[in-house]
Amino acid sequence: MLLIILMLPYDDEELLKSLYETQNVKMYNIAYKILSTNEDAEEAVQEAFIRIMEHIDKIKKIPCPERVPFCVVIVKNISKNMLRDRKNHASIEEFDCLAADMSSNPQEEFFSHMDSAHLVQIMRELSTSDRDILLMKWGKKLKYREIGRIMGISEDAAMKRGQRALERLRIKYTKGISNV
Amino acid sequence: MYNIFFSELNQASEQLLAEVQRQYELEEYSKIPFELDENQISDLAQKINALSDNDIAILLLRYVYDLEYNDISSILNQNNVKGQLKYVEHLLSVGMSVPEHQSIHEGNMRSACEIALKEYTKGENADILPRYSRKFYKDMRRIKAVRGHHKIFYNILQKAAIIFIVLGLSFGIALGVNAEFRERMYRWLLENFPQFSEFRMITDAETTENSFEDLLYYKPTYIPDGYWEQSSMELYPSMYFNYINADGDMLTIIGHLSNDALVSLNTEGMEIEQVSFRGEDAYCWEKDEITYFVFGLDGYHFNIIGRIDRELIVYIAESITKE
Repeated sequence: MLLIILMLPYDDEELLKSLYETQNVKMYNIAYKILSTNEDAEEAVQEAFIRIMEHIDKIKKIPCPERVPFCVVIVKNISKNMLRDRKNHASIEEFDCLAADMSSNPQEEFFSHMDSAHLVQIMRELSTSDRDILLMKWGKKLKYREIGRIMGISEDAAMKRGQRALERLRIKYTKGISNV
Repeated sequence: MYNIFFSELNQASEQLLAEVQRQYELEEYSKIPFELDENQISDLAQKINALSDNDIAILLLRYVYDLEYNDISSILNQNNVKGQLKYVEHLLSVGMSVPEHQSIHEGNMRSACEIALKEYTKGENADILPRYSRKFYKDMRRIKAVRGHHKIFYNILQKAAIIFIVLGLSFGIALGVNAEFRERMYRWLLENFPQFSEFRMITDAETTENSFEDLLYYKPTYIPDGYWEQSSMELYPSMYFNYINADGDMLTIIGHLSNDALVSLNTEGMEIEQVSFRGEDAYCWEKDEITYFVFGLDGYHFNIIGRIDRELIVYIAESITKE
């Protein structure tokens, strides 16, 4: 990487420096508000500038006023990913949500024989709409409020759809187990 | 029990999501474009901002910044950007009630992304001053994001109304025969002008084996509360540390190779006080609420300049040690 750095043409170097001088404080603030620590925010800003430097030839083609939001998008993305990597996915809120999802018909064998490979197979057999809602909820980790906004329905309606999809998954899964 | 289910469902969903995105990546046929009206475009922009941050970034980089998939992939450090984008477009199409055999018109998607970008990046205040570490500045200089500090440094100095010049000198003065000089580690040549004074620190080159590389090991171990390092620079024959506090007050510590540096400092209308520091002569004065301290340490010439008390400046000077 050092070789690439040293070979940056003068104009690119000036652009990188001017982006740093004008944007680093704003970028730090964005990162700090997401990550909450000075060290993490610093790491996010640094990573953002490394990526900007690596793609400086593309960035210089972006009109000046649009470069600022570009930097924001990059540092926000890096910070959110850092946060996601450091967070334990299994938050209490999610457990509560799952408990609500499954409260209608909890079955012991469904939990005790869990096998993700088999689960994937069953999920493939679901309808596209059931698959999509499960992938948004559990694959993309969206909240029902966000899923509702994307689908153009209320949060409650999104949750009901999610619960129904989960219920259909459970029925297919337990059927599969009892057939084995 | 829920724990097992939760973990397996997460794993299965992530696996299936990657699989579905790969299928979307390979989808070659293009669907008939579905035109949205203005209200629908604005609705689409809101839906975009409800997506995950990764999906938002992919859409914005693609539709607002016209980046290729491989560029987006390396900027965001993501695999299969095309598949991710296509699957998100499918979800948005479903959300917008677009018929299955059609997809949202590219121009509409572009317009919606432009609106979404404004929303995504708005309201980001910069009210916290960064407290970057020294390592951060070093790394940023390495990638050439941080300017060679002379410009910043001179801006700082201008703000503090200090005249400051460092010159590389070929110092040809014969000093070796001066017995009085030999008793001391160094001596000062001080020349006063109406607006400034020039300081030269003269060491005996025969007994003092100082080098610029060695000078760089000297650092302050004490900085007053509330100050943090803003920048540092190594520029032969000098090295600089700049600190700042929340009020914007600067504190600058400069070390020079003694025989190679001539330093001019603002002393206009001021009386320079000669003091003793570690048994050697040193100079101190205050001008426009800025305190100046000129002293020697291990044969190196140091200056500390800042809007702080004289006692604190001396305390900082005493804290400078070789790492």
